[in-house]
Amino acid sequence: MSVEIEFDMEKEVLKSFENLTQSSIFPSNQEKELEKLKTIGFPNRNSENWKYTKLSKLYKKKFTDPKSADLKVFPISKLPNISASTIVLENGIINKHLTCVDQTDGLEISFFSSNSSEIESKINHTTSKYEDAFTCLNSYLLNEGIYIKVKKNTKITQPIYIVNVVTNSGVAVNSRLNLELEKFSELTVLQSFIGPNSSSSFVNHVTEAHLSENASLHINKHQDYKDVINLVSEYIHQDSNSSFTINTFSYSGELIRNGLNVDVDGQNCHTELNGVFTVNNNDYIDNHTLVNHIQPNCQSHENYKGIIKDKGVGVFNGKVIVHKDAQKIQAYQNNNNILLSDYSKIFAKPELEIYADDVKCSHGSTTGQLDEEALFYLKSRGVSSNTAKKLLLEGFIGEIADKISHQNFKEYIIDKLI
Amino acid sequence: MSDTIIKIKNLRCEVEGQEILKGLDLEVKKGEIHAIMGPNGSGKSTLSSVLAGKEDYEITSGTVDFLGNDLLELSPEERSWKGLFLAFQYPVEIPGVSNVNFLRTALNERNKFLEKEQISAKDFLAMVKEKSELVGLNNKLKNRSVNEGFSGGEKKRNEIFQMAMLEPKLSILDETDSGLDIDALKIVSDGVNQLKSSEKATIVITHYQRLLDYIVPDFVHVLSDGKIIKSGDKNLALKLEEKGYDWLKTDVPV
Ligand SMILES: Nc1ncnc2c1ncn2[C@@H]1O[C@H](COP(=O)(O)OP(=O)(O)O)[C@@H](O)[C@H]1O
Ligand SMILES: [Mg+2]
Repeated sequence: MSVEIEFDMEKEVLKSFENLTQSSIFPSNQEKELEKLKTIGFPNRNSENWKYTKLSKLYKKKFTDPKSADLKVFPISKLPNISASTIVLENGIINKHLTCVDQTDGLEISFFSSNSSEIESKINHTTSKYEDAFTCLNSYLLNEGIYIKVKKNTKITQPIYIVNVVTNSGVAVNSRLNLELEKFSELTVLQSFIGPNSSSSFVNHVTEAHLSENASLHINKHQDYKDVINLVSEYIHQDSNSSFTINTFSYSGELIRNGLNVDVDGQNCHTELNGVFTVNNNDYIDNHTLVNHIQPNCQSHENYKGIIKDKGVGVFNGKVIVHKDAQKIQAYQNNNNILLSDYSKIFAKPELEIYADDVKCSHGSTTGQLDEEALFYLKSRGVSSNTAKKLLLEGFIGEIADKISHQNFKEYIIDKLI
Repeated sequence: MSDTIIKIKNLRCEVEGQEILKGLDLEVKKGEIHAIMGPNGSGKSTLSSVLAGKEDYEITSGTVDFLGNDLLELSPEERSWKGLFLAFQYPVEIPGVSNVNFLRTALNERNKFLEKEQISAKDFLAMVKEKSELVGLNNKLKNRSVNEGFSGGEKKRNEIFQMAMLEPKLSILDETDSGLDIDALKIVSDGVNQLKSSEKATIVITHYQRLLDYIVPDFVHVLSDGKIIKSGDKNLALKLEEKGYDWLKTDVPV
């Protein structure tokens, strides 16, 4: 079935956002970004990478400028209690009351809005080659961004907690996070995309991270919007001996799409991508990942688990490219899915493209139901049916949830995922 | 109160249109140990699964009274809460679910159902210690995922450990002896014997007589082709050991 949209795609799509064009914090950039956007074009169902994504859901909507929305006080107490520097971006605007950053030597945090001229030159270094329409749209309509630099040899022990909260319906938020890790620096970021009253909004977020030699970056992120279209594009660049880990937990949102791109451009790097996605109702959650092994002697590990309920649709598309000169790469990829209803669907596609000859790579994907024998076993020992299901699901995602070292964050997330 | 723990009358069941239990009768009273023997495929595991509440089987006739309850109307977890326990012939491995955590959940859900107090962490740990010593369950296994990577013998010990923790009124042991060497067999049987009481009963399913040297039954029944075709005392088991099952088949009373 292909009733293809026969109209001026860019023009029509941009109409969805026409009320917003005043809001960019880089106004001088807008014309250039718009031109770029028009050249790239918005994806549709014929675009290989977007074929399962019902983008019409996005293209049909009209959004208002978040600045014109009322700022409501978000009950931050609902978030997991973590001792961390916290930055709250509410409807794309820094909420100063809830933001609290500990000053530490070697750590520089600034907001794009207060330092736009200097920051403009620091962004989009990792994104341009990917030519992604929504990343361009993000630059074009950018509301706010957070820039974090960790200076050489600085190890930030306390995590930085970034909350991207939407408290209004029908708004479009374009936000950014730029992370610059200098040599031998370390940082942990926790990211919450959350919005209990956020229906019909659109959150288009871009994260860029540059890891210099021997730097280490750890991101734990979760996505929990109500009826929101949430696109997150991540662009990670790793220099040699660096270590990058991201754990993505997605469980609520009308349409969630994570596009995670890692360029491993140095030797002896460690790259780890993990995720759990639980799809409810009619929701759609899509994890597209790409690991580009450009240099030899690196390891990457990827492990995603999907739990698909109701009429939910899940997508896992993990691609690993090992370039010609990238010998002695070890790349492992795993994906397991559990379908909990007859109507739930998963499209799983692990892909390996290998152009080097001396590599160790494996990938696999399984999809099944809850193990009936195991359920019966637990029930026969006196565990009620619902609890037994929960225990099995908890067991299913356990190896990934265990990667979160912040206990409160972990419990909070597990509770939502199962 | 009646002394009967379970009373099975004319039980018939089918799976995929094929009849497996074909009119089975059995009554077990408090304090008794019953052994059910019979050739492979005669329906022993089917009987235990049906009693534990597995849904694969369609009950076509018969009744089962368990301590005054209509057993066949209860969910598997309710059967457990009311005191039924099945030690599986093939215990499943459940990756990611901790052995003791799930048991604690099971105990607490049972206590809630029985309107009893929740078990404290301290009491629970003390109980785990006591019961695991009883069956010689390796300390490390208690905290591992349920049965994951356990040897055959360890799985069986884990079954008896769980039985000891849940303190059932009726335990059904489905070929708990298979896959056990003689030492393990002794430990498991000791465990079962120590849990014996005048208020409880046990059904031991086996097709080797040797287990019955350790767990001495009050009654022995022979299950063949979905029916109990002969019952007797422990000497019946010895006779079966000597003569096999075939001599029975020729003089089945019609
Ligand atoms: N779930 C099932 N599906 C199909 N056939 C079954 C199932 N369970 C048992 N059977 C069949 O029922 C018969 C009895 O099996 P079982 O109860 O396991 O015997 P036993 O434990 O005495 O060896 C066998 O013929 C077996 O193949
Ligand atoms: Mg059997």
